[in-house]
This record gives sequence, structure tokens and C-alpha cells, in this order.
Amino acid sequence: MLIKSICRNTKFFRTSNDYFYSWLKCFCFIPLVYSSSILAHGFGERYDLPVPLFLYLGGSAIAVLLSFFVIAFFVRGKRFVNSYPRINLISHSGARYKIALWSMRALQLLAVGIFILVIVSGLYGQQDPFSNIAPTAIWVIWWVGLSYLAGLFFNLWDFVNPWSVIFATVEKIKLIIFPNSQFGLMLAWPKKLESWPAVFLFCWFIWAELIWTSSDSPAKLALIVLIYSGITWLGMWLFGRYIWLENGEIFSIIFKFLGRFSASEYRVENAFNNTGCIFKNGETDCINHIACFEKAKVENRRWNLRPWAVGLLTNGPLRLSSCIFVLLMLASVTFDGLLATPLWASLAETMIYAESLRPLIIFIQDYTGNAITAISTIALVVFIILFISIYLLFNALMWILLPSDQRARHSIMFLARTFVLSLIPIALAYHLAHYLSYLAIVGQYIIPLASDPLGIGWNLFGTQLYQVDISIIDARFVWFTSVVAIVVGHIIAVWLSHVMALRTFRDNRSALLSQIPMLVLMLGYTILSLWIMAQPVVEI
Amino acid sequence: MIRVFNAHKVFFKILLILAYLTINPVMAHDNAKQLTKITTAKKVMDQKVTALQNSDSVVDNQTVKIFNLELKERKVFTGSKTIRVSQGDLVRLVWKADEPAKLHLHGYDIEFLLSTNKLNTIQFTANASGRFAITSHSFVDNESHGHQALIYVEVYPD
Repeated sequence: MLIKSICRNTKFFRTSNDYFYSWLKCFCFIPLVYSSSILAHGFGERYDLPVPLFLYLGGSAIAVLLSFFVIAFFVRGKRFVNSYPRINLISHSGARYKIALWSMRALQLLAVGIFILVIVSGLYGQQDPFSNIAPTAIWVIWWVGLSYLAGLFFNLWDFVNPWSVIFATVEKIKLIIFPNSQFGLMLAWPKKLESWPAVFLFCWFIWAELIWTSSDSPAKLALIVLIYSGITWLGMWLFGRYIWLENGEIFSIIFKFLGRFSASEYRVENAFNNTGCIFKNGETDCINHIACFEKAKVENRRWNLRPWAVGLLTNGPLRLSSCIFVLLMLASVTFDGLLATPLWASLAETMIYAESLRPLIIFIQDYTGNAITAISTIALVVFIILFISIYLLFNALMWILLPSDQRARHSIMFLARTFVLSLIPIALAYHLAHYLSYLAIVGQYIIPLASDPLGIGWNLFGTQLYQVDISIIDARFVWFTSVVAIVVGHIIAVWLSHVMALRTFRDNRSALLSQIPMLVLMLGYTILSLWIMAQPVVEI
Repeated sequence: MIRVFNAHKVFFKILLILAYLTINPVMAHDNAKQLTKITTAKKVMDQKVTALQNSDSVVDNQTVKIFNLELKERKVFTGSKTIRVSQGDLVRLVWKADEPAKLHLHGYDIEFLLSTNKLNTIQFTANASGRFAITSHSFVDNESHGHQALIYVEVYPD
């Protein structure tokens, strides 16, 4: 009724020649042209019990206490971490390398198969989200499952990315038929563009993931995948595959940032001499860089085990666009949790009745379909701006605390770009905790769906009648794992940030001073994450 | 949940119960007690009490948690929006409704119909921990946001 009344009161003025808005509508809100129904957001349901108060308070207290131990560890001397222990898992000429190579090819084939299956099933299969493989394969297995894998163990996505694999195959076939020709336009990437296209596309993806009401509709998902495929292949064709993977393909970038935390890496030894790869960090090896890895000779390729989180230690600042990208990742993960809290439910109610916000809501709902998505969109934008401003504010505080010679050398933005990666462990830990039961329960839908992906009564593996077991994961196990993960993530973050401060300032006192605001920021972020876990899940 | 009763099974069960009751008058007394409990609950409901009534009893060494709920104007009137039970409890929800409705307990995936002229009892064993919404499938329209939870059942680990 409320929504209807808002719609009726619409006095929305727009000139017909307003190209910007029509373009914006066409591009940003493509999904909405087709959206009509109002459903609960996201796909699948969460049955998480709120973390009890004593665990929430205890976790926060332990995080505070252990932080001081980490800081105290650094007080005495300079501890630079320049290298870390590594174990090479594939010898370059032996049978192990061949097994790895062929299993990787099998996985690539599988990924392309699933990619095509998802699109076909989404477009032509049954449209109930739980009878069609598309929503489960996209949101649970790929988005949550693969980020678990990338964050903890191995960034598989770089190798099996179906867009990249398909494009590379087509490129190879074309070069076999017409040797001495080039595939695509191979335009030079404008340096000032950095990876802003990816930031822009990522905003669109965050919105689709968190707010779009039809995110569980198979046909609409398949359509989105097709549109995104078109954008990706166009970008690859214009600028070259590797350039687009680094600057425009959002998922390569996301999984690469998560993969920096993981316990394995792939690297090319002595990269400059082998592939001509240029990088600024002064090392001779090239780490987790697919363009370099695929070009390198077999004997220079390594796949190493390494300690967790060391990949997040950088020697220099990130590009501004990458820094914003990481902050968007962190903000979206936290915002996803906030959307299910009672705080948001009451805030949403206040917003929808607020007279001052009414014109804005009416304006936005014209694009987003209804008032709930309109206020969520407003909240998302406000939250992202707030998140980035708070991060910059704490970097400004850090800058103020530095001695004057350091202040002259580094700007606030330089600090922001340097330290942003140290926040990833907290976000990753929260992500793991937040999705643990979701992956365990909703992930089970893949068992019946594997037998009947289109929902038309097939029974390929005899598992079509499998019933989801909601008692597979115990609430107590989820509570303790979540709290331990978040506290450990926090400690790693404090450690990383301190090591980076030592590397940047080369001075123990400056490093310690700079870490006071950073520690406060990280504690705030950790306690916010724990607080969200302690909230009952509410859907509006 | 629709149960199909086979006539001979029901007859057999009645025979068993009768035999049991004649052998054990003490148990019969207990059953009578339970009956009075439910009737008192009904009385309370008749007085239009809107607070959540909670009573426990023990059947076969298992705690039965009884909750009396009232669905009125498409809302559940209770003290809080959550029912808290422990894992393994036998949970009995006794519903009174002012209009017929089809309700759905998520997770456990139990669907049940409420009718207006009687108390509707739904019973299940809470073997999975978590927070589960009860929504109505008959109120889906634009006014409520489609799937809003009427009440939550929270099952805590022991």
C-alpha cells in the first residue's frame, strides 16, 4: 500500500533529451527492466543463530588484548619481513608437472562446461530458483565457494576463468588459420584509466548481489551473465586479453586480492629476463601474474606453498583505483551483513516514512522498481561513502601523528594506498564466518541440481531426490569458528599493517606512532564484524 | 502436514491405548492432567491474552514446549517476535487464527493450515539448531513485502 501510494505521488521531472540518465538507465539498471516481483533479497535462506553475548564480548576483549601483544612484539627492534619460506609443489619436468597441467586443462574444460550449462539452464530451464542450477551455481558454488578456495588455499579462478579460456581458445584457432595476423585491436590502455572500468563494473555487481530483488531468477541471471560476457569479450578484443583481465574483469581482480591471503602462490622466477614483465616492487620474480605465468618457460614456473597472508605485504602503494576497489570489497561484505540486522530494519522503516527523503526515494525507485530497493540503494551509497571517508580519516590521523620529516615524504593518499591491503584479513575472516552455514546448507542444493540442472525431471547421477539436511552444521560450531576466525583475522591484520609501516617509514618510532590510529580503526572494524554476527537475522 | 490414517492402524492404536489405560490408571490420571492443561490454555486464549504463554510438560522423557499463538489481523500477537527452544525439544505450537491461513516453518519446511473455528496444533522435534522464520503463504501481496516473517523459532544448541 505504501509503495503504491509513493508511486501514485510520483512527480518526477525529467527532460526527454537527457542522454545521461537514459544511458545510465540502460547500462546500470538493465536487470530492472525485467524485474517485477518483490522477493526477499539474495538467494537461499540463512538460518544463523546470533552469536551469544558472552562470545561477542569475549571475542572483542581478546582482540583488544592480543593487539597489544602484537604491538609489543614490534617495540624492541626492527623486524623487516622481506622473504618467506616456500615449498615448490610442482617440479618443472617431472610427472607431477604433467599431472598438474592436465588436471588444470580438465578443470578449464569443466569450468567452460558449467558456464555454458548455467546460461542454457537459466534461459531455458525451469524458473524456480531451487529447481534450476543457475542461482546455486552462481551465488553459492562460484561466488562463495570459489572465494573460500581463493582466500584460503589457491586462486583457481585465474586459470579456469571461462571468459579468458574461451577467448584464448578462439584467439588460438584464429592464429592457426591465419598465422601472422593479430586477434583484436590491441589498443594501448590509457594509463590514466588505471582500473576504473573494473571499479565501475564492481559497483554494478555489488548492487546486483545485495539489492537487486531478482538475483535469484535463473533467466535474469543468465541474461546478466551474457551481458557481462559481452562486455568482457569486447574489452579483451579491444585491448588484449591480459590487459582487460588486469583492469576490467572484476572477478579476476577480486579473486586476486583474496588470493593474496592464500597459502599458495604461482610465480615466475627471474621474470624480467624471461617474459619481459616489468613491475615496480624491485623483486626479480613475478607473483600471481597470469599474463607472465602463461608466457614463461616451463622451467621458470613455480607453484609454491607459503604461509598465509604474506602475499598481502606490499612494497609500494596500490594504484588509487585498486585502493578504491579494495575498499569497495570491504564495504560490500560488511554492508551485506548489516542488511540482515534489526538495526537496518528499523532504519529502513524510518527512511521510508521520512518526508525529507521522499523525493529521493521516488526518484530512485523509478529505476530500481520499488521503494525497498530504492532505500537500500541510498543506504549502500551512503555506507560506501562513509566507509571510505572513515578509512581516509584514520589515514589522516596517522599522517598527523608522524614526525615532520616523514610527513614531508608521504601524503595522506600515499598512506591510504599503502595500508589498504592490511584490512583484507578482517574482511576475509568475516566473510568466511558469515557464509559458513550458508555454504554448508544452501550448498547442498547442488547435489540434486547436478542430476537435474534444468529442472525438467532428469536424474543423471541418481541424486535428484536428495533432501537438504539443515542439521549438517551445528550452531555452536558456527559460533566458535566465526569468533576465532574474526579474532585471528584481526591479529593478522595488525601484524601486516605494522610490517608495512616498518617497510614504508624505515623507522621504528614512526612505525609505532602510525599504528595507533590504524589499530583503533581495525578494532572498530573487528568489533563491528562481531556485532553483526551477534545480531538476529531479519529480512525486510 | 497431511497424515493419511489407515482405518485398521487407527483401530489397532485405539485398542493398544485402551489396554494401556486399563492396566495403568496412574498414567490415565496424568493424561487427564495434560488435558486440563490444554483446556486452561484454551481458557486463557478465550480471554484474548496477547502475551506468549509457555508451558512445559514431559512425555516419554522428552520435554514438550507448548506455545500458544494467536494470529490476528495477519500478525502474531506475542510478547516477543521469537520462540526460544533447545535442540532436541519437542515443540508444540497451538494456534488460534482470525482468518484461515497457510503457514510455513522455514528450514524444517513444515507447511500447515490454520482454520478459524478451532485450535490448530503443530508439533515437531527441534533437531536442527538455527533461527527459522514462520511466514504465511496466503498473505503474499504488495502490502506486506511478500515474505515477511510472522514469528521466528530459535533452536539453541544444548
